[in-house]
Amino acid sequence: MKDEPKILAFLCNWCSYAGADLAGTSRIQYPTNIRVIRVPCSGRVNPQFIVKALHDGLDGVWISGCHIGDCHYQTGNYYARRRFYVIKNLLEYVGVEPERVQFSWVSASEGKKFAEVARVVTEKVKKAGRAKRLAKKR
Amino acid sequence: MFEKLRETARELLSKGEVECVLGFAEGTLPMFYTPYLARKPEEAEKLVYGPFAAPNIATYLRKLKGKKAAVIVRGCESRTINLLISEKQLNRDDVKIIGVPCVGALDRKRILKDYGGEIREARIEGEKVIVKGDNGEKAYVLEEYISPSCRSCLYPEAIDPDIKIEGPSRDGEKADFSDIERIEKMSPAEKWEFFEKELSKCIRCYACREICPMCYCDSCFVDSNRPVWVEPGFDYSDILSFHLIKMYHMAGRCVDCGACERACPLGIRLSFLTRKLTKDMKEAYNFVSGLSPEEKPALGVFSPDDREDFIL
Repeated sequence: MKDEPKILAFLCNWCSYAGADLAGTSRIQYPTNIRVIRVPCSGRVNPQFIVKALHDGLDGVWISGCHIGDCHYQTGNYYARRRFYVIKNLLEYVGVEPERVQFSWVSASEGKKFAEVARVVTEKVKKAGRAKRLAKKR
Repeated sequence: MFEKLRETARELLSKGEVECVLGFAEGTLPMFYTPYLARKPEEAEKLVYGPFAAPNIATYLRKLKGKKAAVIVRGCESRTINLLISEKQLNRDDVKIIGVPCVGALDRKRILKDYGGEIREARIEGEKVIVKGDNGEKAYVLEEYISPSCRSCLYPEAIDPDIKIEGPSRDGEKADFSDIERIEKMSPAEKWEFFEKELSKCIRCYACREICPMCYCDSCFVDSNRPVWVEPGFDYSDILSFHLIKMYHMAGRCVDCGACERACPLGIRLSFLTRKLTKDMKEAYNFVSGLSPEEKPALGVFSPDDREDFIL
C-alpha cells in the first residue's frame, strides 16, 4: 500500500456523493485510492482547498458535482466550472502535472459512471506518480 | 509639462468641487514618484505624472472612501477604479477622474541594475531617461525599460474620464503575450523549474499584496492560522501556494497594472502570473477587467455554454 497514491475527492451531497453511494450498494468495484469529503455543492469547493490538498501531500484531487443544469442550488456548478478552469490552468502553468487535478459531473443515478470515473482518475494520478512538486517535504 | 494638470487641479480645489486631489509628486528617491494628496490649491503645484509613478494610485484612493476626491489616473488605474466601484468599495459620485496620457511605467530595478552604482538624480527628456550618479551621466531609452505589463497594455488611456489631459500616450497596440505562450509550451518539468527559479526568491514580505489596489480584504488568507493555508518559512511549496491562491483571487479582477512587480524588493517577475490570468480570461471568457463600473467580475458570473473541455 505504500506506493498507492492518495486521492482526495470532493463529492457534492446531492449527486456525486449519492452516485458513490449507489456504486457501493450496487457492489460495483472501484479503486480504494480515493478519500471522500462530502460537500454541499461543487460550488462550495474553494480552489484554495485544491492547492492546500496538494501542498499537504495528497497525490491527486478529484472534484465531482451535479451535471450542468442539475445543480440542487440551481447555479452552484456553473460558478464552480469557471473557478476550476482558472485554478486548473494556473496549476498547470506553474508546472504541477495536469493529471493531478480532475473534475467530473456524476449524477445520483450514475453509480456505474462513478466507479468508471474513479478508475480513470486513479489511473491518471498513478501515471503522474507520487506527489513531489507542490507537496511540502516534511 | 505638468501645467495643464496643475491648473485643472488648482481650479477644482479653489472652486471647492473636490476636497483633495490625489496623484503623484516628486519623491525623495530618484526615478520614484511618491503618492501625493493635494488639499489646498497651492499644493497642486507639486503634482506630476509620468513613467516614474510606480504604484497604482487607486490603492490610495480606496482609503479616501467617502471624501470628494479628484484622482489623476492612467488607463490601468481608471480600470481599477471601475472594478472598485463594481465591488462597492468606492462611490462613482465621490470621484472625479482626471485622465492623463501614459507612456508606461518605468522598470526602475532594471535601470538600477544596468547602471551599477548609486543613482542620485534622474529626469526624463523626450524618449530618454537621463540618470546621474556614481558612474557619471548615462542615458537610457525609455521604451526599453518599460514594465513588462505596460508592454502588453491594451488601454493606456483612462476610460470615461471626467477631465482629460492630452499628451503623447502609448499606442494601444496589440497585446504581446509571446513570452507567456513560450512558457505554456514548456513541459510540466520545465515549467516547474522555470517558476521555481523565479519565485523561490520570494521572502513573502507581502509587498505585492500591500501595493495591490484589489487586495483589500480585512483578513487575508495568509494571516489566517485556523486553518493555516500557507505556513511560514522558505519552503517553495508554501511560497508557491501563496502565489497561486493570491493569483486565483485576482482572476478577473487584475488589471495587470504591474504595481506588484515594481513593488517587489527581490525583482520577481510577477507579470508572468498576472499576464497569464489576463490572457486566460480574455481567451476563455472574452473578459477584460474594469472596462465599465457596471460589469461584474468574470468569476462572479457564468454562461451556460462556458467551456468544459477540461472536465472528464
